[in-house]
Amino acid sequence: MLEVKGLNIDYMTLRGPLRAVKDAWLSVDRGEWLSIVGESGSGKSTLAMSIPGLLMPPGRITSGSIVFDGKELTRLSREELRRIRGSEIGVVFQDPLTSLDPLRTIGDQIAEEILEHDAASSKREALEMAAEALEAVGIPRNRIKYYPHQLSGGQRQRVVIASAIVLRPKLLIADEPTTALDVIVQAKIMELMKDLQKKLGMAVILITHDIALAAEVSDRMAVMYAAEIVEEGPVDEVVSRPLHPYTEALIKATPDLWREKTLYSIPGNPPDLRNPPRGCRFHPRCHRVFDRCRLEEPRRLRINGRTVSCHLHG
Amino acid sequence: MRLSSILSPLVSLLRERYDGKWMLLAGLVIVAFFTMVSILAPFIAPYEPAQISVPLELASEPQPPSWEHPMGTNNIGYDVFSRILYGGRVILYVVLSASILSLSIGVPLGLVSGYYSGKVDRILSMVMDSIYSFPGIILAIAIASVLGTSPTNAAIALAVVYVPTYFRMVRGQTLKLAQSVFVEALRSLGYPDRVILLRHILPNTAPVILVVFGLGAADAILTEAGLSFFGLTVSNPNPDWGFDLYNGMGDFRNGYWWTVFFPGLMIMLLALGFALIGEGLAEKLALRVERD
Amino acid sequence: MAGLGRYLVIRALLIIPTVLILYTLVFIIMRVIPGDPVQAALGTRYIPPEQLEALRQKLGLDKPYHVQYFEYLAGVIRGDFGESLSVQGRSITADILDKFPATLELTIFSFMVSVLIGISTGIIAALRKGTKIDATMRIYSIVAYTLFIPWLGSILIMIFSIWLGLLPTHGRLDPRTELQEITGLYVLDSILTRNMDALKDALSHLVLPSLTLGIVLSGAYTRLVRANLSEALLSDFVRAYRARGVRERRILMHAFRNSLIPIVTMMGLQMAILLGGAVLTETTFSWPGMGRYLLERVEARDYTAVQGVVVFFALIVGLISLIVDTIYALIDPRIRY
Repeated sequence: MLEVKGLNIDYMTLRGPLRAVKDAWLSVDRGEWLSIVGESGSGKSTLAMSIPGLLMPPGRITSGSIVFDGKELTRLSREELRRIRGSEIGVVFQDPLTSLDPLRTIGDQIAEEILEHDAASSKREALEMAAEALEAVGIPRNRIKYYPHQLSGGQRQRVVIASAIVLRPKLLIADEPTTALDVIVQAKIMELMKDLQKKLGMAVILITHDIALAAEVSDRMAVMYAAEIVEEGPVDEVVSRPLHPYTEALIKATPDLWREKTLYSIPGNPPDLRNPPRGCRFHPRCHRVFDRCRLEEPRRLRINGRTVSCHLHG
Repeated sequence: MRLSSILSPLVSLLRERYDGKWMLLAGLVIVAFFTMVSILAPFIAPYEPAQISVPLELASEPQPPSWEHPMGTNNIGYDVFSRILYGGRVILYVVLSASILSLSIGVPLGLVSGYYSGKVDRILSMVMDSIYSFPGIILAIAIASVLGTSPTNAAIALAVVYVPTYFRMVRGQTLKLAQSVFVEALRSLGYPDRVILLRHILPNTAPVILVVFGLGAADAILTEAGLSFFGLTVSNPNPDWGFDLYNGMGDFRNGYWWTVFFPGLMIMLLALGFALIGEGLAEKLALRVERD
Repeated sequence: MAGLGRYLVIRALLIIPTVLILYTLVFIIMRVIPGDPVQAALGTRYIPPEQLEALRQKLGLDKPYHVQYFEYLAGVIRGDFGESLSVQGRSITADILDKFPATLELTIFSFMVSVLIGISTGIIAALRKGTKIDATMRIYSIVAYTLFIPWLGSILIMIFSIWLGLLPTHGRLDPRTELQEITGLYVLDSILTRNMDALKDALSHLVLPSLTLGIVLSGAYTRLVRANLSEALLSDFVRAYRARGVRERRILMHAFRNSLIPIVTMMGLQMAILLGGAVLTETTFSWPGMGRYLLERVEARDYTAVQGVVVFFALIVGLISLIVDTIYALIDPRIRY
């Protein structure tokens, strides 16, 4: 349903262009849950936001293609993209405290979205739909007249999710939807999203730095490092048998309550994207580095329905 | 505060590159030009400011700009250009002394008030805010009218009006600094308040004071021109831009545009000069200063 | 709404100290005049000492300062701003009521002009941030502010009245135009009495003065709208609106509403400058309002009138800040505690 092919995204900075996403390939089937995992600055948010055309200037797609439901999104007009946003692709952002307009009631905001997509014939009908969406995410319908500041962080994120699913999109993109919330609320929000995914049969792209969370909820997982997707595949396989040393390191760095070990951390820092290392971008931090890694960029390899970019595998 | 502690950041500002630099430079050039010309007025002015400069039969009708009178003459036969040169001295004297006066009252009060926030701070802030929220020119008119017409009295009236501007900015900055980790550390090291205030907080508010000085002086130029327009700065036959503009208004309606046009233009340029200094500095310091 | 009511009552009470402070300030200033104010007001005319004393007694100026202070204050609470020093028996309240509508009308129209120009230039600058248009608006905002009101007014008179002959040069109404006064706001009065000729005449007299004052004050809005709107346009909720597929035009509207809070604050502060600027505008256009009245009283050394005008303006400024606070609460639900 969604095919991203050879996508390159640059940020035009004063000191020249900065490639935030380099040659990204992804595909998501109907009803499938893909998580994109990576450290902050790895380009995972940029990649996800480029799909519904939400890149903030100076970011822009320089080449590649995004096919969604048979439509080439990179060639659509602004108005055509707008019509898809909200109705066919829903988006949930990281910070629920700031992604709602503080001056308007939550009902008005959701109803406006419905009306902007001509999905209701009257404000009244739109408000009714909004109330139903709120109920679907576990907010009592009488809260429809509440302002964002009258709700807790978790409730606000539920409202944001309600606004993202109210028009039954085929794809939901969630950018670190639980990072700003406390742990118990996080679990509930993820549970809600999982429920909604099943109920509405929508595909989900979850952006997260939390590989454990991704392992728990996803069907497939993509791992990004320094603007590149280094590994992608079915989640169980990626987690149990990582092909890329970076994925391996990420898994090792995850705290585990049952196995009491000292926490592993990946040595070194992610590279400066203006001046990435030669060869494999991960080589300065890789514990399995060899000569070829320092000289030659690894190609994307397909191995049994998985992809990986690492010289260890050919 | 030592003068160098204000001037050295200013000098470094002129060396760096940033967005608002052209504004700062343009402002400094304008203000420096007007200051120079005013100081040198007796040497530059072709005529005495209050002396009939045309043949008597021409004196009662304003004469248009010519080689002899680059800005024309007024309805008494005075040379407008010479009056502008001398008038610049009055407005600069009033505005600069008023600014320095309100600075030297507003800054210390703001420092103390912001540092020892308490009852005194609350009362002082309320008084300052009340004056600040009141139309400045009306207050200046009320004060100047009581004190009587003279440049010094006008300066005093203006000083009262602009004390709150300095006070508010300095108090706000001090309040922020007084709660900073840095000042906290100094206090725990046992530095006396006096030293913290004078050596550490005051120099840190200096950039803000400079910005306020620029913007405040721009505003004060216009208020001074207003006072002068109402005859509260100088009296006949002394030159002052606002006053000359007022006296030219009758002739202006009869088509003698130069008696109003030139003094008003000078008021605008000088105010612009100070405003550009303030804006350029504010840009550099990325400060959003409330304008009054 | 109970929260709103409480909030407004608190705000209203806060006007009192502001007015008291300004009254105290002007009271002190008026008492530092060297010499006898009554004699000063009467000028060089010879008045027998006993008559002078009687006048002083009548005006209450023979009493100790603190008695004068509180008596005048009590008068203000009753709406009595005292009696003129130079024109015997003339009530300052009556004068103010006579002159204030003219000033009010001028300030209302100037306010509209400044907001209209300022907000539209600010929006243009914010939407074209970083371009030449933005830079032009920026320069406009600084230059507009530095224009001296009588100068700009004179130039406008020169162009539109003297050269083009389009608009009147001074006053509020042509002497030949008849208008029945009800509120003293001529535009409103002519609408109330369905007097189209007077309406046209009153409006044509308003154009130049309100344009003059409006242009000078518009620059502050330009800069403020630019700064706040461009900030709001980059905020998270704008991105969220976009993600929901809301049209750009509507998003701009919501962003604008969110940038209104500092703009409304500015409007409150600007009203004070507007009243100050009105004094200069009125003199330029012979507009018979408070500004001209103040000057006339200053020239007559009528200090009780000057004191009355200052206290009256302080009340007006307080009232404006109350209105601003009300608008705040209406825009921002977070303020209604």
